[in-house]
Formats: sequence, C-alpha cells, structure tokens
Amino acid sequence: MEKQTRATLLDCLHRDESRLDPAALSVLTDEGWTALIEMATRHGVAPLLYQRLKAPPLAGCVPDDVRERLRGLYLNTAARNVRLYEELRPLLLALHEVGIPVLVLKGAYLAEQVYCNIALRPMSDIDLLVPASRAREVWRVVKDLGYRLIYPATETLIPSFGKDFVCQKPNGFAPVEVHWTIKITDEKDCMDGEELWQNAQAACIAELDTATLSVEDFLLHLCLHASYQHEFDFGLRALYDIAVFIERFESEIDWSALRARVLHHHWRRGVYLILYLASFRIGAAIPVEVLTALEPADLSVGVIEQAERRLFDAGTETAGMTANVISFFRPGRLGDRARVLWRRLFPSRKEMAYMYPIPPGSWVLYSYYLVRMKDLMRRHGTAAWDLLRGDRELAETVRRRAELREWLFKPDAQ
Amino acid sequence: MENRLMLTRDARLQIPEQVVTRQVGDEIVLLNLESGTYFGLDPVGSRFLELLEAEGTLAAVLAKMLEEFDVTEAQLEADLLRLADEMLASGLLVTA
Repeated sequence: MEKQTRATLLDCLHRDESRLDPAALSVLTDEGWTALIEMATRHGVAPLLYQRLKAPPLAGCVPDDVRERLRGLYLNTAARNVRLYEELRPLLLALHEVGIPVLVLKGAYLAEQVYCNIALRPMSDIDLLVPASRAREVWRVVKDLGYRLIYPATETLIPSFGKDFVCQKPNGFAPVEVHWTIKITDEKDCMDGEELWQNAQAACIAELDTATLSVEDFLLHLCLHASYQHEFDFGLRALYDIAVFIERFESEIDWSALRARVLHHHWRRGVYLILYLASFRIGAAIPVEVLTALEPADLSVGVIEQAERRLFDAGTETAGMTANVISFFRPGRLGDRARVLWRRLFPSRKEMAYMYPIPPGSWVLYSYYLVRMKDLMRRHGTAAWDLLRGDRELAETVRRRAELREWLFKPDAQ
Repeated sequence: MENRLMLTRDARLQIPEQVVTRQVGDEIVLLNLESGTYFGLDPVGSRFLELLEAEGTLAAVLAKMLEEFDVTEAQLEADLLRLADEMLASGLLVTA
C-alpha cells in the first residue's frame, strides 16, 4: 500500500503532467485516497496535490469528499501564509526604516515569487539574513515590535555565538529566524557571507521592495539545506521547491558558476544527490551535463536508496532522530561513542548559555548541566531505551542513516 | 447572530479592518487576524466580494451579477444572502 501510494503521489507531482494516468486514480479506494492525502500532508505537498487534481482531466476521477478535504488543506495553508506575510511586512518595514539590509530566505520568497501562489507552499517560519555587524541591532528592533527571544537563551551571545537567533511573538505568531551566516553543518563550509550580499537580487515580497539571494545562491541554499543540513528528511517538498525554482529561473541560472562553487566548497555529494532525486523523481529540469559533472565516483544505488528512504520517512517518528543520536548508536568503536556522549552531556559554556538563560561566565551555569541531562533524557530517552533493549527496526534505521551520513560527509575526491 | 436574522438585499456590508484578503490561484482567501477564522471564495464568490467592496450593498451586487451570470434573480439572491450570512457569522464581513 505504502509503495503504491508513493508511486501515485510521485506521478501526481511530476512536472511532466502526462505521466499520471487518470485510470490510476479511478481505481483508488477510500482507504487509498486517505493514504494519499496523509502522505501528501506529511510531505508538505497536499496543496500541490489539490491544485493538480482539481484541473481537468483528473478532476473527474476525484471523489467530491476527497476534493473538499484537499481544498481544506489548501485553504488552511493559504490562511496560515496570509498571516505569516502579515507578520513579515511590519518586520521588514521596521528593518528598512532603520536602514538595516535584509535578505528574505526560503519559504517567504518561494511561496510568493516562485510558486506564485502562497497557498501552494506551506511555511512554518520566517527566515531572514542580515549582516553579522547589525544582528544585535536587529534584535533590538524586533524586541520593540514585541518579539521574545527563544534562541539563544542569553541575549548577549548575539551575534558572537551561533548562526542565528530565533524569536517569536506570543499568540500564534510564526517563529522568526534571523541569520547572519548560512551555516550548513559543522563539517561543511558556510555559504560565503560577503558573496551572498554582493550577488543579492531585488525582490518584491509582502508588497515591499526588498531583496533575496541571487538565483544560484538561492538554488544552492535549497540544495544544501535539504541535503547536508536536514539529511534528506525534508520530504518531497524539498524536491518540489528545487523543481519549481529551476522551472521559474531556467534561463537565468548560471549552471557552470553553480557547478564551480559546489566543487570548490566540497558540496558535491549532497548537491548531486538532491538534484538527482529532484530530477528523476519529480522531473526537475536539471541539465544532464550538470548532473554528470557533479556525480561522485563512489555513488552507488544503495546510497540513492538510503537517501530516498530517508526522504520518504519525513514526518515519521524515526525522522526526528538527531545526527548526534545516530552518531552515538551507530555501529562503531566505544571510544567514538564515549566522545559523542561527553560532547552532548557537557557542551561548552557558550553552548550552554545558548540553550539556557545564564551568562557564560556565571557559576550558576554548572547547575544547568543537570538540567541538560534531564532535557536529553526527555528528548532522546525513549529512542535510546528502545535501541538499548534491541529494537531491530530502529537499529536498522540508525545503521542506514549512519551509512548515508558517512557517505555524505566523506571528503570529496575532486 | 442578530445580523444573520436581519440580513436583506438592502444590507450594506463591508470587510472589517482585522480581515485581510488575498488572491490565491483562482480563489480569494479571507482571514480574520483576530480570530484566525478563514474562508475561501471560488471565482464566483470572489466576484461577489469584489463587487461588494465597490458597491457596498447586496442589492447593487445582485443587479451587477444578474448581468454577468446566467441565473434567475431568486436563485442568485438566495445564494448571495446565504454566502453573506455565512461570512457575517464568521466575522469576515460586518454590516456598515
């Protein structure tokens, strides 16, 4: 059932609309439709499914109640995003007013300017990039607008530690992530801040003249975010973002510049794998020569399968296991595991001050190591217990994820 | 609720300040920012809202829409009253 649902969903979302045979929909049972809607929701693509299925010739194959359920999800996304843009506008206005340059990242740009219909692209937060030198000032501006700091817990760490601050207004407002660097992971290069600002392009977002990343930087950010940062757990929405983005800017993308940067920064494995999946599963128009040039020599069918499996695990319980849990429980030497455990239990003072509201110099911070242990137990205790008592399915998931991780972060052979 | 019972074609209606509207595809979404209530209007409903914003009264909207759509006056009036009634109840329209 799962496999069939997956195939139907992929056909429904494929950029080549002729791939979906209406007869495949006609045979779906109530149970089949429910599974399809649930999978689409889990992958953040239910509004896209609605858009595809309401148009002829597929509309006639969709039962009324199914169409209504999908329309409900579409309108829900629209309403949430309307609210999010209503939040974004005063935020951008306030920053513009004090002359702080800002680049709008990810969803807020994609939904309006790439999907061209804000109901099609679910969003959970607002991502902005500001110069590191102005980050503290940005916090003061948003604080005056009524935002509360979530991370770091200690205000004085902005921007000396971490890559962003996260804040939120009470009463159902979306979290706002203010970045001053686009950090991929500890193991990989950041996207170059200077270069991002130099290449930035003008954009109209939330009815305001503002800016976003250049076409190549934006596409790279999508690829790096989905591959290295989230290790493919972002579901089909990540592939779809890439496919729609390429379709929208097909004539503008400088593929050779993009390829050169990928190779220079050793981002080859992640970028190749996500582009490969976007191309072969969703039909993203990626030039064959780009894929050929980026293909790592040790790519195997197994790696592609692991990434795909992870992609389809999105939204499930095991998808939430962090890279640290994977590093700890993966088969390996005891010493490596002990190092991971030690690092997680006893982070540096700055890391602690990032998580808990205590200045890094305070002695009280030591008492928070107990709180840290409690928090780790609460977060990972169940998975850890299941693994320790020999849950085979979970152990297999950890093994697979560790394998994918190892391949992904292996140094590139250029 | 009182609004719903008194609604007639002479009613003057408007979108309250706390409601935002946005075109999404071929529909319009209205969202009440205070209550979180939202409503989607298909192309015909969107036309109703557009005319209501321009004309103000249901009677004027009814007259315009009768020119544009192939429908009897009684049917259209019943449909518009039902739609307006529902939107009033959701706080997405108010009487002016």
